[in-house]
Amino acid sequence: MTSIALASGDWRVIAQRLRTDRRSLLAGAVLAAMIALVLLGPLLSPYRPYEQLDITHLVHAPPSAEHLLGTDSYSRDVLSRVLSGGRVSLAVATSAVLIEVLVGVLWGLASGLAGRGIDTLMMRIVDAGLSVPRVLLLLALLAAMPSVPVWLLVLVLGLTGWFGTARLVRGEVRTIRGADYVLAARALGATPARLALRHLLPHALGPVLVASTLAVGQVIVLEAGLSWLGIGVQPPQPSWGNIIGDGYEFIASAPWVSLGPGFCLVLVVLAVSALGDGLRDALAPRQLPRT
Amino acid sequence: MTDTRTPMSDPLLSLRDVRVTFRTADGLITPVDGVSFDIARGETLALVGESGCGKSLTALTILRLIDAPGRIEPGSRILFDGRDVLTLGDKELRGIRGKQAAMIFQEPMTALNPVYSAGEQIAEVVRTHADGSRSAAWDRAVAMLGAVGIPSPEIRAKQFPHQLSGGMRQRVMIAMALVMNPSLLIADEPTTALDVTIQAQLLDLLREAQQARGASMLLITHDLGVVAESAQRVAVMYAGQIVEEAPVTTLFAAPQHPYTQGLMAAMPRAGTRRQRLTTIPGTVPPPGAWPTGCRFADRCAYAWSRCTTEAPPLHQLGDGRSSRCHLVTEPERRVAQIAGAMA
Repeated sequence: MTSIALASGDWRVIAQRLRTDRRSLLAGAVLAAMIALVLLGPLLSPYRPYEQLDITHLVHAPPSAEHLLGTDSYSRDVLSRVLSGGRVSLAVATSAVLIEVLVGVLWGLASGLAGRGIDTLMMRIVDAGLSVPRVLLLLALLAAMPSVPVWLLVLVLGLTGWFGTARLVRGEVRTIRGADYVLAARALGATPARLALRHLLPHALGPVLVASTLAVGQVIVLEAGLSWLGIGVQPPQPSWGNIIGDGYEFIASAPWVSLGPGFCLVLVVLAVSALGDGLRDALAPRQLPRT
Repeated sequence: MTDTRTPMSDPLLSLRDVRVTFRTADGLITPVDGVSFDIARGETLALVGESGCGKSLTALTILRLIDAPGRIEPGSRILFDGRDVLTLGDKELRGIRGKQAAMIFQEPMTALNPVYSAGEQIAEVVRTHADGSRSAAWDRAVAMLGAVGIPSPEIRAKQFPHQLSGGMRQRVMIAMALVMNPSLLIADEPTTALDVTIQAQLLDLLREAQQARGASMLLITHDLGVVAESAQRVAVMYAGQIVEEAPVTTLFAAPQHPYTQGLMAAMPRAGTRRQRLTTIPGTVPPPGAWPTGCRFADRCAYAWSRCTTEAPPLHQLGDGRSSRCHLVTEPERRVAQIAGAMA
């Protein structure tokens, strides 16, 4: 049982395990620093992210004391754009993952509780969703739309990512619903809703938490990729992906434009993945390899 | 298979010709096959039999807890306190479960949810069936834990099942069952998973709780020692059917059905020299492999040709006794068998 410690409300045990895991500690610190930076971005950033400072003299200025990450081809300060773009990237990723989790948990719960016929139908839909590569699905959907506001991007990202979560939750529910304590709860008069929310769902939450932490990393990369391709976050609004895209043409002459946001992206994704791994180990210490 | 017995006057629970079928890959099986019994108010009926004879399924039937592919067959009747359980709506049924009739399960290890504290699980039952605040339900849960003999209940209420011993977990289960003061307790092997000293304590606890509330109890067990201590009447089940029913003293004094006699003989007795226990040869045939005649025939020392061709009815013997055996109509065969064995 992977999630007993979590579900018993023993958050202190989980926190303790995370604190003693150096990898999780480092990842958490990096992530916290990054989040703080982009949240405080408007206060910290030396220039406005959209401002073209000096289109004749400040194009592709290398990093300096005035422009820590240099300037881009429109003479905008890259650091200011990275701070502002980070907000967009992280907000898009976390909102999309929230949608994934919400839809996936509800779908999985319903499927796990349903009779054989409906369960089979619901899981075939999940299989269909998983069988199409997500990038292709996203490209097809986003390319078909005339314009993509950020909220729509979040929605599309979220609605293409819940299939795995649904399958995870459905599996947990199927395992637990035959348990003696579920029968005991029914024998004592529990309603179906109460059974689902109080007895079945808590067991699925541990694995879901791990999966969705890792999913944040995936979605950050996906959004960056889409924005780089020009169908994600639309310029002039910055996101890490489209800043990298802006710098791509001049990668040989002005590498700093892409490297700044690229470095942030790699750092955040690595930290999120490490934290997800640490969380998984903290929730299921029995699966740790022997040392 | 109609039941000819005279019905008990105003029983709390009455089962008539209850039949449970399961659709399996090998066809339809009937693990509970025409079970009838009554439980009077305040009475304890013990349902005994080997593993796999349908005791637990019968118990689940009373609260309609049989899930697909299992099915309670039409024609079965279950009257609880005058209401037909099998025709109740879901909401009314939930009103009975836990409030008027509560069940105690065999394995306290698995029948408690590992993710909630003992107090939370009891309080949940209260909040399902009674109005009132969260804290009132909690206080009632703590009081109930004290009432079932758990020391320092305020502390124990906050602990999770894995922090409690087996005996304490079963006390928590009993507290969950008793907290709404049900008029019927269904205890499915409540002490089987526990060691002997704890067993005795818990049986005492159950009996006292039951008497204090004037509740009835259906006690399912395979332990005849438990039966002798706790029950007023006994129904013996074999291969999905009741094969003998009698008041507890009569049953122990003169068991009628060869299966009951076998169970008695297989019971270890305190105070006797150590010797091999008698066993009943063979095992209960699985549902689906039941013979056409008497279901016990292939394990029975008395069996003769009639037993393999003709299924015996449940003969009424008066004084609340009954036996599903051809020996009732041919008692001379009992003597002949004994004489044969002695010769």
